[in-house]
Amino acid sequence: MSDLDRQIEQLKRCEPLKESEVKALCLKAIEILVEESNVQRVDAPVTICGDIHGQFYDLKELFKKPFLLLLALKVRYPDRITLIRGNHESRQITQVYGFYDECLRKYGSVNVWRYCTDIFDYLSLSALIENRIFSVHGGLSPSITTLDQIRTVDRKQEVPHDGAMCDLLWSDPEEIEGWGLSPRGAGYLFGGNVVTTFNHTNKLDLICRAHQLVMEGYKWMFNQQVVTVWSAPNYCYRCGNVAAILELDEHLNKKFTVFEAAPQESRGVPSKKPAPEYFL
Amino acid sequence: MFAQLFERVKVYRLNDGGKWDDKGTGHVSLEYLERSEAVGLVVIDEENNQTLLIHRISADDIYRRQEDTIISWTDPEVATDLALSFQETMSCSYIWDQICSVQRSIQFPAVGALDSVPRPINDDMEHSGMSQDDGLPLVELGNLPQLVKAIAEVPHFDRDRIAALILREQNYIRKIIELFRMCEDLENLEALHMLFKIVKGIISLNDVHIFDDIFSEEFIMDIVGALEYDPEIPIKQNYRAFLKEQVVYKEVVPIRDPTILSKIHQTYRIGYIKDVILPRVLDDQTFATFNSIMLFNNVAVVSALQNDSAFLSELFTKLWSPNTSERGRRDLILFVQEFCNLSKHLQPALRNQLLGALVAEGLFDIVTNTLQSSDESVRLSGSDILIVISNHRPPLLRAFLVQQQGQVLFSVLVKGMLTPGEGGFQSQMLEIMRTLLDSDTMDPAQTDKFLDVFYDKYMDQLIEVLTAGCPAKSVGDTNKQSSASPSPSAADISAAVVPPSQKNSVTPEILMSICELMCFCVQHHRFRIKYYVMRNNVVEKILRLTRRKEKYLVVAAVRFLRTCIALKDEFYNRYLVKNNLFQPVIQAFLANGSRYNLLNSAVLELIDFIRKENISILIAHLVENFAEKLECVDYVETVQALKLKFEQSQEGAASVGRDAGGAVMSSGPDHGSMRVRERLNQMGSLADTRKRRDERALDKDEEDYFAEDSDEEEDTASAQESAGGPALQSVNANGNVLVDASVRNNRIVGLVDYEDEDEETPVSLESNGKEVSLEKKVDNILSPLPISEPVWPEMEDFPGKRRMSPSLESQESLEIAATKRRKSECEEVKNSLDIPAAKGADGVHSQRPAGDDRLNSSEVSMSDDKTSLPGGEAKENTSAIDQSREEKREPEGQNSVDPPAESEAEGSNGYGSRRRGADCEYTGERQSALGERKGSLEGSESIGIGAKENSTHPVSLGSDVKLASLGSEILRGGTQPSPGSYTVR
Repeated sequence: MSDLDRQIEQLKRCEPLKESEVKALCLKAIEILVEESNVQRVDAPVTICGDIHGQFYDLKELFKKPFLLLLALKVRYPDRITLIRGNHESRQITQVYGFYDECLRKYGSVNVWRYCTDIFDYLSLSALIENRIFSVHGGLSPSITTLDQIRTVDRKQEVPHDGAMCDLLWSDPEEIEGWGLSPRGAGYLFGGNVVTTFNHTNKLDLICRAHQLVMEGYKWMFNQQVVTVWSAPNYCYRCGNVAAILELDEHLNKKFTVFEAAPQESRGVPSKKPAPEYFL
Repeated sequence: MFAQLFERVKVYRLNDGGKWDDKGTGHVSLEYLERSEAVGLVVIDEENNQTLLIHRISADDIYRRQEDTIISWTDPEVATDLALSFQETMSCSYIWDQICSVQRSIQFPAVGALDSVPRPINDDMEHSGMSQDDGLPLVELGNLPQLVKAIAEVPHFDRDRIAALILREQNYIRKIIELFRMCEDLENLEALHMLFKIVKGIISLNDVHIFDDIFSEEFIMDIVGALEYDPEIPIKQNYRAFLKEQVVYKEVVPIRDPTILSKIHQTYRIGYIKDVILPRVLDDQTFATFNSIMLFNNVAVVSALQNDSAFLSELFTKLWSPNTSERGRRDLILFVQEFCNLSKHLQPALRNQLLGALVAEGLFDIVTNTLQSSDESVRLSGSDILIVISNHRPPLLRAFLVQQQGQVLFSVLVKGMLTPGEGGFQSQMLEIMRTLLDSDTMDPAQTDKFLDVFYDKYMDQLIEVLTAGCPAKSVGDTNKQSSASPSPSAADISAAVVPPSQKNSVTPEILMSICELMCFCVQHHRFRIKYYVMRNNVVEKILRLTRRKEKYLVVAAVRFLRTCIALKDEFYNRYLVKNNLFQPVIQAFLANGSRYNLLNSAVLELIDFIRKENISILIAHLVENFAEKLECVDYVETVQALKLKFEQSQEGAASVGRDAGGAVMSSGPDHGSMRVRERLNQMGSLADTRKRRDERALDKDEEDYFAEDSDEEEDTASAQESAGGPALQSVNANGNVLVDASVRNNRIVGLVDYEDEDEETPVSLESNGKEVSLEKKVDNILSPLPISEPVWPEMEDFPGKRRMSPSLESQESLEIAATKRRKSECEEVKNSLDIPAAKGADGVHSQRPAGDDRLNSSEVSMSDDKTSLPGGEAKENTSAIDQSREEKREPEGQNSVDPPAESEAEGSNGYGSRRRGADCEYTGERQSALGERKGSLEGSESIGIGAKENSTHPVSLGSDVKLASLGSEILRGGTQPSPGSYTVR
């Protein structure tokens, strides 16, 4: 494990890992993730984070460093960290946001991108905390009425354009009755009555999700049946939002911790290593 | 909005009566007051933008903070008591800190005025007091604080104005640079810190003309220099030293044009500023501007070199020269790699021209050597070059691989793909191979040759490595290797590739790669892979992965089975049943217990898929053989639902038996579904040759259409479907496939009839006779006996037929297709519709101008007369539809689409989707997302039969024999991708 600890330290300093290290790390992570459920059970106490969005310039680093760091921590402490998939954990989207090009430029090949995106397919889709709190990136799906139904999703795939898996990652709560079309073009909007029914059917207290920027870091909806937690402060360095994490103690008492962006100096020096030679 | 809240204050003044008068509400900020050359508090009325208050900050200790939201003081100049009551605590603190900081700076003038407050520069400053007409401060040492304010603390909306001011002034940038040089000489750190902010501010203005200036050869190093003095980083950075001393510009072949050379350097330096110096400072727009400057430079450089014929020949002379040192050769290769990568940004025509020129100079031979280098970085360079070419001009590479003397490169690719390594070489090789095997980008004339070679010579190696990596079962694995090495020419190579010593060192990664590639082949190469799979027991071999301890390999094996099933090809299905190939998967599933992990979900999904798609033969097989074992699955309804489905079909069969008396309805277990499916497959294959999987929106709708139609004739449909029940069972019971064959013969009669109605071509007898004989061969395949040659002369790769269709896809259109597929659709359809005449000469095939009903019903948007071919087949055709259509819609109605199938498509195109780039779901409307989705969903299943191979005959084995009598042109009729045109309801 000493290698791993070293890598974690390295990642915390924002220093990139070697390609072969990334590969080995990803393989280990797959071994762990393949054993996880689509609805991964989690015991309290637990801290819930929403989108962190990498928080480097331009979302460039969307997944690389943060994702690899989380992954390393996951491999190091498999029982203590549960990663669930978000809509951005997809090949297409990382490509749009430039992670693909970044890997290509930085490592000279897209292998790192490939390793990372392969991992995405193994990430769990949701978590269930003490059978009471359902935690998912986006929200509900009209094709899912019980948590058991999620079990028959083969999650090892790119986030599809629709269907249950897509909805879980893309949907948003909205002040409407029933279901609505999502302006995002994927997933649905779901109203308070949908949530009430779902929570009742599955004996849940709360759905905890991310996926939407909330200026205050967190936002309750539908009479405290849904909470949105956003963990990327000052999103894109200019939204001016604060971020929040939700801490649950063993009795599921909720405590939101709100925080602002880290001051620049504490973020360390960017460590992108430029190519030492160039031809063109 | 948000920012403004911070500074919202009420201004109070203590009146003579000792009461606080409310003087108004506004926004407060600290401004540099030009006139008094000091910093002051300014409050601007929020309603009329009048100045409510100006107060010069005093160095004296006159300010009081009360509670959390009030700052008060006695103004010595006007002898009044004033107070600001803040709306927000946070903004009160912020202003308070600023006041304190200004006081300090008055007392200790060395410290920059507002600098010590660590607040990000943003819109907060938008109420700064700079009047619109102010010019810029003169560039002088004493003005640095003003310069910081004027340039570095500009609100977003005001950037253009400031940029214009800078550009208007003569030599403004030059003066700043000169000031910087002076300050650096004087080692005036404070000034340099301010200059850092100024330069950073200038960059943040994001003005192209300013960039022209500051990134010029003359200034750029000074700009970089100024950026070394970031006050927030305690130690001075040494960017210039790095750029000047550490970075090496390697000129492998002299570039003589100074402007080009200068662009090359500039590009590197801009990239360095972007990625190393200011990654966290640049906003999206500025970042994009940087990128586009670099892009334009790259294009200019590559185009210039491309047009310099002397340059290319010099390059290759060096590459070929035996006198070139090892190191020199490495650099040359790295250069070519960069050259190729940059060519990606060129316009397609130019890029293709460049890549073509490189290939013509012998690039592939060079790369063949490169890939065998002992230096992995060189090997990776070589593979990267191949990736560029295989992505943009795959036919060039395929042609070379097939034609090269000794096929060295081909062997190297396969070997590289199967050899474990620390770095990424193996996965690079895999990617190249997958790209090459993508029949979507194939020149039809090439398809056969390339795939023939691959299947004859190299596929065996994959399977060998696979079996070497899996523990073989001691029993039931008799006929494996002996029949599986058909090609003698492959023997020597395969021996070299998989030496016995290596067989024990097959890594999970390699196994995973092989499994994924096999999935890809199953999806893309309908006929060849089917033939190969049957003959070599490939499914059984891949499913040996279920015995590996790595759970992800077990899951990968399940995925392969799922891929086969997703084809909904009766031929595969019977093969799976006959060889009891669900056994290992179910076994692994049961061994996993009720643990809720990916394996558990994957198998449940597979079972669900079979049920949802109503694949009757598999439903029966699963229920009859595994229902008891699966009793333990009580945590989901999957197994129960499957049983229910089975029972329903049984009941249906019984009732129909009574009704129909078994007369005409003895036509087979799934007559209706087969017919429809095959028609669908035909349709689907039309679309396949050029389109990517996810662009095939048509077939789904097509199928819905049929399903819809079948409503009226449901009775018949279900009758036929259910009549099949008992027949099917008898097949299962005695395991005799010939029973099945006879059943199919009946069905074929039906098919031929249907063809007759359809068209005037009197081929029914002929084709009927053929099919009967073919059935026997099919059955041969089903039993694991070796096949005698020639196999199925009507099949897709029968050389005589093959010639017919290449004209469909010119070389050029293929290359367009490789990158932009959608555009050529109409043309393609038109082309394809022209074919019947050409094919008429060929007596073997009935020339059914198919796609007719499809075209009619679908209101395809093109108005070519030829599209309205004799049709009206839809009804006739779907009368035989089975229940499955019916039931299938049910989940679709809810979900829009069933996830299983799409997983299939996605799984296959992880790579494809990357190449496709940005057509992501979130940008489009829901509708289009659905359309796309449906397309890809159907793509996965409707590739049906041989469709992906190329435009040759979409014929499959066994049950699909009827397709042999349909010309490929049939299949091309309905290649209309637009999802919108398909609202046939």
